[in-house]
Amino acid sequence: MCSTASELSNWIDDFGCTFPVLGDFDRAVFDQYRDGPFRPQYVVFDREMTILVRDDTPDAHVIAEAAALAAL
Amino acid sequence: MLFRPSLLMAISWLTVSCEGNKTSADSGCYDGFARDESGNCVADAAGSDEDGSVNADGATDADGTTDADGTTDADGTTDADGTTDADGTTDADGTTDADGTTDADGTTDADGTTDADGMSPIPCEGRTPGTNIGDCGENFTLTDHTGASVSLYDFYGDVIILDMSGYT
Repeated sequence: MCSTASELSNWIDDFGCTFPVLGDFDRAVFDQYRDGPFRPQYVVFDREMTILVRDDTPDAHVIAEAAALAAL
Repeated sequence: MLFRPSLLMAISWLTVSCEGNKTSADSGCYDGFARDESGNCVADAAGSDEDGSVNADGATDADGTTDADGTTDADGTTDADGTTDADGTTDADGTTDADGTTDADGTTDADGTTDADGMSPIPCEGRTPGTNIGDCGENFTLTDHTGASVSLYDFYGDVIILDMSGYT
C-alpha cells in the first residue's frame, strides 16, 4: 500500500502504468465511491460524467471494460 | 410579327422602371441590377455585383450582406454554408467561430456556452452529483506521484474507468 507520492511513483514504475495513478492515501475516494467492502472495485463514467457501472463483484473488471468500450 | 409590339413594350417597361429607381452611379440601374450587353437593366444573377446587395449566385459581394452560397462575406453575418465568418455569429456548420456563441456541431467554442451536442462546459451542470449508477459523478481531487492535484472532472469528456484495485 502506498502512503506517499514517492511510493506511488515506484509503484507506477514497477507496473509500467501509462494512465493517471492517484494516491487515495486516506481512502476518501474509496469511501466516496465504494460499492461494498470488497476490492477491486470499478466505476465507469461516460463522457458526460454519468456513472454507468459501479461494481465490486468478481466480474467487475469484465463488466467495467465492456461498459467503457461501449461508451467510446 | 404579332409579338414584336409586346417585346418592345416589355423592354421599354424595364428601361423606364430602372431609370425611375436608379441608385448606382456606375450602371444607372436600381440596386441589384446591372446593364446587360443590350444596355438594359437586368437583375444581377451571377457574379459580383457593384452595390453588394443580395445576388443569386452568392459570390462575394461588396457590402457583405447574406448571399445564397454562403461563401465568406465581408461583414460576417450568418451565411448558408457556415464557413467561418468574420463576426463569429452562429453559422450552419458549427465550426468554431470567433465569438463562441452556440454553434450547430457542438465543437468547442470560445465562450464555452452549451452547444448542440448537449454537453455543458461544466460537468454536472443542472444535475445533482452523486455516486450511484445514473448519477453525474461527484468530483474528487487527489494527488498523483508528482504531487500534482488531479480531479475527476479534469477528464470530463472522456470515458473514464476508476479502478480501485490498488488498496490493501
